[in-house]
Amino acid sequence: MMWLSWRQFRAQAIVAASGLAAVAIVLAVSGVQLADKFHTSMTGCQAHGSCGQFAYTFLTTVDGSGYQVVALISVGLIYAVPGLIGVFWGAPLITRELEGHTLSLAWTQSVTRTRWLAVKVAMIGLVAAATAGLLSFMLSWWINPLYEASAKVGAGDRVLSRLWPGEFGVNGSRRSDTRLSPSLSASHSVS
Amino acid sequence: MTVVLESRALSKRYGRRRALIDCTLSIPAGRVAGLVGPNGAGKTTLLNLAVGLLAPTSGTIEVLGGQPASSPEQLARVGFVAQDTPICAGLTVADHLKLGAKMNPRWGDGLARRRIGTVGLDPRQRAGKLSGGQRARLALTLAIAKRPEFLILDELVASLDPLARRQFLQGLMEAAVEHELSVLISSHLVADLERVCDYLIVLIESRVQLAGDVDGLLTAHRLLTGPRCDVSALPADWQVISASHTDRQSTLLVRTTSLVTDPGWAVDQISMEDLVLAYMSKAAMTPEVNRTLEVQR
Repeated sequence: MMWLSWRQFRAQAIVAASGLAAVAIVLAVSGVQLADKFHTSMTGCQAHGSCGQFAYTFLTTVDGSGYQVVALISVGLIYAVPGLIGVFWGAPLITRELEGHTLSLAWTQSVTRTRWLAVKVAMIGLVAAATAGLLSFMLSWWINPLYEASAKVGAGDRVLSRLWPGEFGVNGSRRSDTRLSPSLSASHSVS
Repeated sequence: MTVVLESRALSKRYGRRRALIDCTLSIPAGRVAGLVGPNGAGKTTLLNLAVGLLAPTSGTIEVLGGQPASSPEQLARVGFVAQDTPICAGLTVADHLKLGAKMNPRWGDGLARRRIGTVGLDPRQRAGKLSGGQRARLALTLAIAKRPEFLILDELVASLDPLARRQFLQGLMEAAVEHELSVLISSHLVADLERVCDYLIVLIESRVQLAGDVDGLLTAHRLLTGPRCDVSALPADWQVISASHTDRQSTLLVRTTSLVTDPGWAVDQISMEDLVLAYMSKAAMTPEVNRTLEVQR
C-alpha cells in the first residue's frame, strides 16, 4: 500500500522537491549575501555608539532592493503553498481514483479501505507538512538579519512592516510583541 | 467449503431506484457460474455487493463464508475485475505487477510474469496506452495472480473481439481448472458464456428469474411443438415460460420435471441462449404486472 501511494504520488513529490530546491538555492545565495551585508554594515557601530543608526541605514539599503523582491516573493509562497498543496495534492487524492474508476481496483486488493485511506492521507499529509515546514524554516533563516537590524533600530518599533506586509506568514506570533501599527515613520524609528 | 456465494433476500436501492430486489442465491464451489441478463438488470450491482464495493440496503450476502471486504484475509480470497477493467493509466505493466505483489500476500509473481508473457504484454508499456483487449488481459492477470479462491468478472469479455473473446474464455477456463478457482462471470452475451459456464443465473429487472446447474436447467426445460392448443388446458405441472402460436401450431417452452408422454408434441432440447432469451422475453412481456405488484406493496 505504501508503495502504491508513493508511486502515484512520486511525480508530484518530484515537482515539489524541485520547486523547493530552486527556492532553497535562491534563498541560500541571497541569504548569505544579506547576512554578510548586515555584518559589514554593522562593523564598528559599537565604537561609534549608534548601532540603531547603522541598522537603520542597512534597512534602508535593503528597502526597494532585490532582497525585498526575494522577501516578498518568498512570503507570497508561504501563503500560496498550503493552497497549492490542497489543490494539487489534496483534491486529487481520492477524486482522481474516482475519475479513473480505479477505486474498484484499489479496493479489491488485499488491503482494507481504512488502511488504504490512512496510508494515503498520512503520506501526503507528512510530505505536505515537511514541504511547508522546510519553506518556512528557510525563510526564517533568510530574514533573520532584517529582524536583528530591526531590533537594533529601536525598542518596539516595527521598521520591517514597511518592507514586510506578510510578516505573520513567516514567523507567526514570534513577533507578536511588536506593535501592530504599520504607520511607522522612519524618522520616528531612528529617534 | 461447498458454497462460494450465499445471499438471502439481498436488495440494493439507489435512491428511489431498486437495482436488486430480494435476491436469494447459493452458488456452489468449483463452478464457473454465468450471470446473464439485459443491460441494467442489476448484474454489476450484484457483483459489487459480492466484492464489498457496495453495501446492501437490506438482506445479507456471504462470500466464502465471510462478509465481503471485511478483512484483508477476506479480500485476499476474492479476485475481481470490474466492468471497465480498471488500471492505473500512469503506471506501466511492470508497475501493475509490483502493485499486485505489494498489496496481496498470496501474490504469485512467477504466475503473473508467465501470463504477461503469454498474452504478449510489454512490461515497460504504460497501461494507459494499452488497447481495450490488452487492458482486460492485464486486469485479469492482476486478479488471477492474486491467487483468489473465487474470481468475479464483470462483463470482461464485452470489450474483446470475437477471436480474442474465445481465447480469453479459454484462458480463463484453463486458469480456473489449474488453480481450482470458482468463477462468477457476468455478461449480456449469452453465447459466450454458453461455452464456459456450468452454473447459470438469469437476472432480469433486478430480480433473479432463474438460477441453477446448467445441465439441470436444460433438462428441466423442453421446447414443445404441436397442434395449436390452449395454454390454460395444459398439464398442471407444466410451467409455461413462453408460448407462440400460429394458425395450426403452438410452440411452447415449458419447465417440468415430468416426461412429456403425449405423442402430439414434438420435444426438442433447448440451448442455453434460447432459454435465457425465453426468460428475457417473458419478463419483457409482463412488465406491467410487476409494476402493479410493486406499487401495491
